[in-house]
Amino acid sequence: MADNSNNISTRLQQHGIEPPADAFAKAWQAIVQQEAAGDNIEMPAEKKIFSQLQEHTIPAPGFDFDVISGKKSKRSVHLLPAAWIRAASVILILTVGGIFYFNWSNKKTPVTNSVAASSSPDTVHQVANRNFTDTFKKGETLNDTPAAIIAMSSNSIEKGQTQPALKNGLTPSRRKAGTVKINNNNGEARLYENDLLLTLVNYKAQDWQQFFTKAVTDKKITLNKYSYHNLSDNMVAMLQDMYLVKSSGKPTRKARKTKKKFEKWRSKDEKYFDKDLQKNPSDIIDLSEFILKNN
Amino acid sequence: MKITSCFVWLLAAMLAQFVLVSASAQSGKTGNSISIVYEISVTKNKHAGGLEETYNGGTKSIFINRNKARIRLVSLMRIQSIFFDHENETLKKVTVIKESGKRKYLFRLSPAEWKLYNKKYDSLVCDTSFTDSLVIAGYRCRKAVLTLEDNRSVTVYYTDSIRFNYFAEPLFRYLPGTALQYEFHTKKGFVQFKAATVSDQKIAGDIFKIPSKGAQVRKFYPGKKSKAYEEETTEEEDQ
Repeated sequence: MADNSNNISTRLQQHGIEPPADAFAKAWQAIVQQEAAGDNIEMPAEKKIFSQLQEHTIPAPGFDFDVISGKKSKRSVHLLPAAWIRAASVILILTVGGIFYFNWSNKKTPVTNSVAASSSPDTVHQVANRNFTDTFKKGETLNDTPAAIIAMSSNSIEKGQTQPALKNGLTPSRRKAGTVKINNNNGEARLYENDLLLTLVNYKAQDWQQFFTKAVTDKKITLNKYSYHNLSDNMVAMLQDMYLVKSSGKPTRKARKTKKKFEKWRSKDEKYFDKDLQKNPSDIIDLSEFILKNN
Repeated sequence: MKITSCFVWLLAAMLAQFVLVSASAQSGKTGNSISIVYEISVTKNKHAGGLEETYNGGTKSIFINRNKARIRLVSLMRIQSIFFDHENETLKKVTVIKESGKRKYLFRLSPAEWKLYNKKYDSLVCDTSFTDSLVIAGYRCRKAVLTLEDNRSVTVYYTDSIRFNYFAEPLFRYLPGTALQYEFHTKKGFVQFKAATVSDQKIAGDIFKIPSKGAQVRKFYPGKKSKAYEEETTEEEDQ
């Protein structure tokens, strides 16, 4: 069997058919004829385009010496059309003009409006989320101070939101004597006894952190356009000292001392200006003699 | 081209508006209403950080209209106002009120009493022979020195662009203009009042309403300290 298969492969390997005798001559003749006829065949369309492109020439522009020297090179940097830039300029100027106009008109109106508020208890613009829990003098509580009114910042307090209860159980939203008033319309706050020092001194750090932080960082308490007080660096340092607390949450000795210092100053001031009505604190000589000599 | 012309017109309009606003801000300071806000600064030579800090940074505002005026001091320590009623530049009535604190009070002064209240300025001497000048709140100011009978003196920088009756500020009655900066020096330091804003905008009537609610009414007795606490009554309603 093996011998048979080997025989078939060998035979197939050796099998061959001879081409016709004139096959090569015929093929050669055909090639020669095709080449000879090729010169007269019309060129295809795409070949024509390429050859036209090949022949196309553009005359070189004349030398622009400004471009060569770099003087006009910036023109090519424009990324936006000139019209767009002009339109943007107009919008920018309109915006700036608008801001300027509104600022100016806002500055103008408070002379009649915001100043008017100063005849009633003053308002503080910067107060936020706070309540009165401490007392300035021993024995004084919110119940003893009917005019104690503050308001909350509209940013931190939504309309109708209940405020944290005061130490004496009252809530800021109750508008009556001894309570805290919330003014949601303009976010203004009223002073405690209309007294800036008392307002700053008479609170506990946890509830009044925002008010205290803002007053200390801005170094300014704004009542209205024409009524404000700038806090000096020394005053800021003293106020910060006054709210130092121990790990237990109680005021440090330094804090207690600072508070006592404020109380001492208050009694000195009252003694000088309130007992002797002849002294006028808005008079530069009376004021200077008090703060520079009796100090 | 159209956008460019629009831009030019807009710019021109804005410039015109700016010029008009500036002009209106500078003019009319001799009109019926004026308000000036002075910032108070205290400088001590030694041991700063005492009681003076409660007044350092405070403001004193003056509001004057046709027949009313008010001086208001705002400091950490106290808020106090003086209200004036005047007619044809003649003083009619003065009310001094302490607006802050638990013990608010007020006392009223007749023109004669107001004169006694400011007795120390009776023989004031005003020297305007100085050539020093300063620009304060946009106004060119000249220097003057006001000397009291006891030789205490106040250095003032005033502008003659603003003029109003000085019954409210007897210290400046001989000044040929309005004081925009003034300072008083002692051996321990000095106190300065410097104008931060000057406005001639109309002032609302409410600013001249005396916040007398809850304030004790006191009687002023010139030169008598103890008597000042007598005859106290309480006003229930605003005037």
